[in-house]
Amino acid sequence: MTRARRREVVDVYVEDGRAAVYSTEGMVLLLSELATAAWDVLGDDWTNTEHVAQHLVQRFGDPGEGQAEALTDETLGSLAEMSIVELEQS
Amino acid sequence: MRGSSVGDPPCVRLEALEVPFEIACTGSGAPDLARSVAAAWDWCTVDAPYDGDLACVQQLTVVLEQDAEELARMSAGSSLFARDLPTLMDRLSPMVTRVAVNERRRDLVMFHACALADPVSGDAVVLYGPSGTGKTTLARTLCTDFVYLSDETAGIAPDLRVVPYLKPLSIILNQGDTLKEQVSPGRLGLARPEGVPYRLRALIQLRRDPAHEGVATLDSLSTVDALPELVAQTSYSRDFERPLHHLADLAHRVGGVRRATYSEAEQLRPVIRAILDGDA
Repeated sequence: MTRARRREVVDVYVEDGRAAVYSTEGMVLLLSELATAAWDVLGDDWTNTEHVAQHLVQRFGDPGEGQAEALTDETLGSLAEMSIVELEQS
Repeated sequence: MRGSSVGDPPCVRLEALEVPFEIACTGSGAPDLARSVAAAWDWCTVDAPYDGDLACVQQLTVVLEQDAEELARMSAGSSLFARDLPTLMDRLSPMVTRVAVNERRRDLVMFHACALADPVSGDAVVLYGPSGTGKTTLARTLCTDFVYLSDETAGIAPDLRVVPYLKPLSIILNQGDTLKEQVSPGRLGLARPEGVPYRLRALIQLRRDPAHEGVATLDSLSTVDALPELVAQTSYSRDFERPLHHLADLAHRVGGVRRATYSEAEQLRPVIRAILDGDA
């Protein structure tokens, strides 16, 4: 099982469902609506990625069998690459 | 330009972003150096000594010395040194800017931008963008009609007052030159601020497209889309409390950020005129 949590950031600005995130590395990252929603579910404590996937399905609909988890993993993976989310296998 | 007393090096007093400087010119080339600094920075020079807290005065010691041994001796403790005048003048401008921006980092929002204004209303436009987007060329071209406020750094106070930074323009005058010449805005025939308070009216992101034809186009950006570049072109943005919200609030107060696409500076003149006339 994979879990995720936010990394510390400088600031977050959300407008029309999309977020700009100012990372501690000094970059301002523009998130898609999907990534913003995933980010929104996360907090400082660990959250199972299954829970994130459920939230995204509720918000955007079910993309099909097995796709929600894959899309969630891909989205959280992108946020982790941007150093604003931390992922951990538990 | 002055010397405090007999034997003191010639010294140029100037203000950059309202930060007082005293530039002591030393070395065997000191007289030439002082004359050149005073001429290039003539719109920033002040005659009277600073009458506030003297600790606020930024002291720079600049050495122009052709003799290598003497230069090595004098360079210790200096702010800047070189064996030739063009090199020294080329390096002085970014140093003054860097020191001034650092001094105002807590009370101004400072954009890497060209700033110009309507001479009558005082309404100002800030055109921001990275190096190579043509800020100096814009100032040089457009500020014969509009008032020149800066070609490099636009300082915005909390009440939206634009703090003029009337630095010389850094221009490559001859093809093949590697150093930019520092040219007084007066020598270029630019319009000087006349004591009118200048107030930010529009924030424009510059996008230079060599293929663009006709009048520059102006597109409204959502604030969230504008923020990455706005932050990239803002000095010390991380020092603000909640910097994204701080800049978003500033953008909202002037009706949001717009992006101007252009290829030649002249294409922006009617667009800026329309903004300042309230027609765009």
